[in-house]
Amino acid sequence: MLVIEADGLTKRFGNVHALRGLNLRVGKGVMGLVGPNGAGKTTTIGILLGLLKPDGGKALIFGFDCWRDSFEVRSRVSVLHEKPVYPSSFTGRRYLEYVAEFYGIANPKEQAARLLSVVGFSGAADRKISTYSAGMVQRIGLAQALIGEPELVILDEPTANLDPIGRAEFLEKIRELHQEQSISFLISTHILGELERVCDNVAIIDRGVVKEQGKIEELTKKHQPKDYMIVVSKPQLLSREIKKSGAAKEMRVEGGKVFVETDNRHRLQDEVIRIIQEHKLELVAMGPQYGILESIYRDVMEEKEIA
Amino acid sequence: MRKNSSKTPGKFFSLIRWELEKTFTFPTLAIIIAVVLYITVPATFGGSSGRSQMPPWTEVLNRFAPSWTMALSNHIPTSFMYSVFIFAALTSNSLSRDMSRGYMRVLLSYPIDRTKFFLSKILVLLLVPFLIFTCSLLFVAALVFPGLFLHMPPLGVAYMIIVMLVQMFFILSISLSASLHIRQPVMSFLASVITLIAMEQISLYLAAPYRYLLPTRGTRILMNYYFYPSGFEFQYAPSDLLMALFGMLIVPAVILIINLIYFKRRFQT
Repeated sequence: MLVIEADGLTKRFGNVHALRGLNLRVGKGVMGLVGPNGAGKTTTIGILLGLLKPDGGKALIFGFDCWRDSFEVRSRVSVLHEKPVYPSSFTGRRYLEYVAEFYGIANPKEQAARLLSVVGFSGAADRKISTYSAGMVQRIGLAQALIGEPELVILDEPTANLDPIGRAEFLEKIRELHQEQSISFLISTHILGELERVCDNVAIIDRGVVKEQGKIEELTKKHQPKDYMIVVSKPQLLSREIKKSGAAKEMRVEGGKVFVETDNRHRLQDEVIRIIQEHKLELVAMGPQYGILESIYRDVMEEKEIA
Repeated sequence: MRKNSSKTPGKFFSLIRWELEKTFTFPTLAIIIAVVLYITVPATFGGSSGRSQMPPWTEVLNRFAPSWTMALSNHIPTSFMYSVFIFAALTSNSLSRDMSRGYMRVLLSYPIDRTKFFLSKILVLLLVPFLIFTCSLLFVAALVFPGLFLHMPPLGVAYMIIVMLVQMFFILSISLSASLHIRQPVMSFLASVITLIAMEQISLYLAAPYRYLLPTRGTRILMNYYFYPSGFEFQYAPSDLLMALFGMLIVPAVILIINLIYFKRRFQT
């Protein structure tokens, strides 16, 4: 069953076309919605939650129209907004209790306490939100998004305010929640590296349209990495030899590493192995310069620029 | 599946409690109470020069109750100017600030019925200042002249309070419209204040009975019709009263209903 189904979504803000016929299909699992700033990710989320009315097209979540039946949608879907702001005079615990009441939870206090422990936030729960760090606010945001056992949780730039350790913990928590409670996630971000660890599917969005979407394995096959990084004992020598062989489109040596761009990955590999054997070089590392998702993303964006 | 029901009355009361807890915190509450006391204390003493006219305790109840009634009934329309600032500040603080800071976006992402949300805002923004006004009026009066209200015309106090509520209802409808559409606290505050003061000024230049559509002429006639049925400054026509009722009750009610429909069906954040 499709969780999210969007067909031909359009949305304008004055002269700005935020969405230009966006099509999106999301099944159960963890889906990444990636794209540069201003691509239309937050507008898409606003429409999915019934906070924005599309100018054209339709968006359904669990079969409910996101604008017309937005109440039904919001009963099944939770969200952690980008840079969330919660009333500063409330304590974290009190805020969660209110949210639980809005969801009609029978015992809001118990629910709030349980979720505070789930997100590892018990110590500061009785302090005012105004005293929280960005990371703490983000944890409260995740806790409020989990109230009432949602079927889908939408996270808009969830790790933007977190330090590297906080990011890793946050993503680990999402992975756990998906595996243990079967909650589906739609994660919007422009930080691609972190998505690889948790996402099954990805949609790449740019200038209001989805450029590519599908399972990460399938997209990896379709969009092979073109940029490689090789670390060897004599990088200048390797660079010269690769250049002579014609296996690289572009190449540079930086910080003792050889960065190569190629259209033929297999040929590059063969040539590198040959050169290493011929010149008795020591190979320290060789692999794609960017992560899997970033490689896909760059390839899709390059295709767009060429087009 | 989530346990939830939009029909749960608890949600409405949760929204009211939420609004109360969020909005009426220090220093907002302290400022309202201070302003209200500033307005009501002189009124209770019978005007700005009332202190020097204070009679001996024994004569108070019988001799001066009518003059205090007059002072109070006159003072409520003139409290309009203060109320404008209180309501403009409160609605801007509650509604525009919610929108500009992003609380509204967060709140409307929960399964909350928009009608209930809107009504809870109106209820809190209208009733809390009203109750503070009323309590301080009664408290100060009772403190200074115990038993004063017992000597007023029958139901006079209740009527006076209702008219005050009607005036507040009018002010709220304008402030709320400005806050909902402008979405920026300072600008919506200024827009509310300027609009309401302009209305008051325009009413000075309108001919009767149209001048009674707007406060404070409208409030004054509602007050005088009860306390001085045979005419006070001059004789009022029944059409004047109808115009005042239309302007002070029907118009703000229509404004609020239009805003409610807009908020429910078209509001985007």
